[in-house]
Amino acid sequence: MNALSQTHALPAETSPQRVRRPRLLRHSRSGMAGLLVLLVFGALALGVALGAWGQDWSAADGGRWEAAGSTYWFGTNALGQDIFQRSLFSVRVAFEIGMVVALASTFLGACSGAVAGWYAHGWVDAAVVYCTGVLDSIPFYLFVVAVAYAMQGSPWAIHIAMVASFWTATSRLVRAEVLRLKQREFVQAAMAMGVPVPALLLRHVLPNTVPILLAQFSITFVAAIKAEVVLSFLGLGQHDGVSWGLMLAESTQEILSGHFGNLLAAAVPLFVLLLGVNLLADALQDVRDPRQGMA
Amino acid sequence: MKGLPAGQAEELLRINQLDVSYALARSGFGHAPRRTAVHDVSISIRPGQVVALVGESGCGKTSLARAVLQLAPVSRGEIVFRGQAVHAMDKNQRRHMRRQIQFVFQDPLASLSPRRSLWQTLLEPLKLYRNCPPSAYRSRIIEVLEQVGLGPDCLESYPHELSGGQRQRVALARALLAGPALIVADEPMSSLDVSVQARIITLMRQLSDELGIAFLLISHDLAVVQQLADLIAVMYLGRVVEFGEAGEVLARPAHPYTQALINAVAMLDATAGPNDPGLPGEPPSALTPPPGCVFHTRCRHAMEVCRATIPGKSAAPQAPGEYPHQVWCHLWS
Amino acid sequence: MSQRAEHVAVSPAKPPVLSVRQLRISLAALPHAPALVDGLDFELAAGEVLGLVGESGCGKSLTAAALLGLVLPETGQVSAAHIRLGNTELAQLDERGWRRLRGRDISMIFQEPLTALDPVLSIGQQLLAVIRRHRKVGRKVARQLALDSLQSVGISDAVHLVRQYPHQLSGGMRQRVMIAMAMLCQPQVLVADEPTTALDVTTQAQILQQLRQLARQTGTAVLLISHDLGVVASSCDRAMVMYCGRVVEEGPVDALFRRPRHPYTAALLAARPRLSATGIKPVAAIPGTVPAVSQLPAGCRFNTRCPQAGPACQNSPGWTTDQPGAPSVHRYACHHPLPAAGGAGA
Repeated sequence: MNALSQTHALPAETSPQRVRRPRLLRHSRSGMAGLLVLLVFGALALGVALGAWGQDWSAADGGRWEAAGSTYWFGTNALGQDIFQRSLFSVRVAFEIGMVVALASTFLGACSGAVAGWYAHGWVDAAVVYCTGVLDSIPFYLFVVAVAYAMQGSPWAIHIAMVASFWTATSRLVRAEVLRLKQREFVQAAMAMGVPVPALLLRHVLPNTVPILLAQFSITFVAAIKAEVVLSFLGLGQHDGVSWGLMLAESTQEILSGHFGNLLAAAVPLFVLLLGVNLLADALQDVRDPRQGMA
Repeated sequence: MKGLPAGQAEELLRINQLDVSYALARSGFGHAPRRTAVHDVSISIRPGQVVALVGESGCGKTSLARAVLQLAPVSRGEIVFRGQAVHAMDKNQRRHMRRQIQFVFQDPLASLSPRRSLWQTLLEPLKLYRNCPPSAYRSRIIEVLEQVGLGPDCLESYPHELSGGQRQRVALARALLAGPALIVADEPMSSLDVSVQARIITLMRQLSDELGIAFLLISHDLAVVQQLADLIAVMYLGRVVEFGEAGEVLARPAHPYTQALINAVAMLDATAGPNDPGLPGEPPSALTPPPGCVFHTRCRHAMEVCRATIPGKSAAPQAPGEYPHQVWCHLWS
Repeated sequence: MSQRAEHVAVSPAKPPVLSVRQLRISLAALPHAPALVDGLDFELAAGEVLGLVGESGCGKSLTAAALLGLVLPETGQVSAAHIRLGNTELAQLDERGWRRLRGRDISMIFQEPLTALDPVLSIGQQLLAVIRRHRKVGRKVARQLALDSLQSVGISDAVHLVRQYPHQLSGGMRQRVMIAMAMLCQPQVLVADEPTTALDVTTQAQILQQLRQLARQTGTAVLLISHDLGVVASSCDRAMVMYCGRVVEEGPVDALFRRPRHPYTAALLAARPRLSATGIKPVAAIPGTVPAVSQLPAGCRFNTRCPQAGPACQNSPGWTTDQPGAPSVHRYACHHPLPAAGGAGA
């Protein structure tokens, strides 16, 4: 141990180029704008969910097609319901479906992709690849109708149909990334140390797929909200509730007679929310990965 | 020479007639063809010894190292650790062995998890092998960091924030934290600058001298090998062609390939005559090794017999030493 | 400054093909730090092989990129009193001018040939593309030129090789192809950035030998960049030793490596493990570490690690030489040079 103490005397090398911490999200103006939009809508949705506001969306206490004013901010619809209240409640509906579908399909995609990639060319992998292939070959709207029919109009039918169609893309991306990461030396190093497979996947492999997962999460979030609007518009989604899609469907009857309340109250917030999420997602991708710290 | 005399075998690791082969992509039906990366290699390592595997890319030295680390498939022969064959070990014994065989790879940046801080990286072996109480984790890590010449202030850093030499020290520290008896070091110097190389060489020498850690050193660089190795095995196309004490092999290389390697190094050092022809050609594909002696396609002494039969082990002339100087070449049989 | 010009090491008989004066490269990422490459002067004569040695991050690859106009504005800012290639002034060249020049008058080979070759084109197709771009010759002549160039780098079976694709070749073969491609138009200058680092020792020796022969035969001047003192010592006529962006010593390789005068050159030599038949020669590490670009010391940049450093080293040293009249001058920038007779400490 004696001469080892000599090593202490070796001057500890200081790093030649200590790179600054990765560029942060707050340095991106559009990213911050997107985040702000998301937070505002999130707060609105939360308020609705907790019962703070937006509870009177179904009460038909106004006149038919009343103009916008101090009582009814955006006017009323054909049944005399408050369009502002309906749009506010729709934020909650949109958020709920976006979050549930994005979380579930990203989680499912990450897990299945990681396991399939790790045990590539084994039976688990074959099963996952087969499932993704089959699910991807079914047309989306047909699939939703089928699931909705099979589930007898359960409110979860469109959630399940969307998760079933959206997880495959994430799964395939994660699988490819895991296949690549498996060859990397730090994973081999962990294998040589005898780190058990679950810990290996959780600690060394999956953290390196976070950029993919983030991107996929935001893409799925947007896709789910859009899909819900389209489905409701077509009459395949919400039946007894309210959503931007239903409002848009109503508005088709009204714009010819000059009532734009429903159209604007649904289309504008929808556009702003999706734009915000896209801006945020783009900014998140630009934020530098700690891995690319040094050239 | 360290360790006990050759007869009284207190071996740490013995590699016995080992073959390592990989399955190649299957084309059509039937069995997938296999590529044999390591062929019939036997080597033994004693505590505190530094054994070097030397050879050019594709010679199988890395595959052999990976087989020792259980990262490559063994298709024939066996690896024996402390008198017990690895394939016959139960789960507990295997874990015990894994703790004692650690590794350092060529590129420390690639072998450290990019998204984990040094603290997380260094904690992993301690948690995994549970060889010290959790309350002592921090002091143990700082102690080992000092052994490799790093201060505790780097613990919050990420691998990309360090210099190449520092990263290789961290990789060594991670290996040391397991309390290993053997460290497999695959080209540990080749990604480092000259001035940093010298420090890592000194450090490895100290670890082997004072902590009695054995090293299986894989390198293409004979100059680095001479600095560290007690024993040298020269490999070509998956086979060991020469084996002996480092001084012997470098001073009196018996195999034409070893001679050519030493010659090439000397030439790159501008000490050889300008008209030395060097080694002609390139190594043939390991997929279809030539029959007979694998080196005969490039050997200037190649005879009829070299093209037909694989040479057996012969003794090369040597100064009296503890280990025999062995060569696999028809010139000496 | 005038002393500097006098001592530029080239024989007066041969006009230099490349002359670089006061080359400065500052990094775009560190606008307030001193220029990384600072005041680089050198000349290259036809058929000469000049080595540029230094550790990683010293600016040697940046220098190579600057000579081919490949330093992107987001990487760094290049300025020079002049960079003259034959009669062309490179310092004022626009991108169009560079494109005409690159591959014809000055070309480059890289460390990893696989990334520099197009994976979907055969070797022959890639060679022909270069010929067509720079030379107006018929199909037959072009084909013959391609085959000749491959033979000139020691490829015996050129007819077979032109039909192969990069992934089918070994690393050594690929680097030969890269050299053949770079030499197709017989450029005045070839910049070789770590050309053999990725190769095996025995292959390295062959390729360096061929590179040197080619330079002699065709008169192409070669700037060989390497971190490996052995590579430079064995294949160059002259060499420059670079530390933190400044050349600290230059001269004929014999003088430079047998009798180094700058402490950094000596320290590098002593740190390098060398194979010796007589026994182990211990290596001596260089104390301290290379300073970050943002923390370069004033004066001599080696003064933070130099065993000889004194108060005088706070000022940048000028060039000193031992034999001012000699055709190829051994010069060094140091206030406290090592004694001329003393060995390298290795």
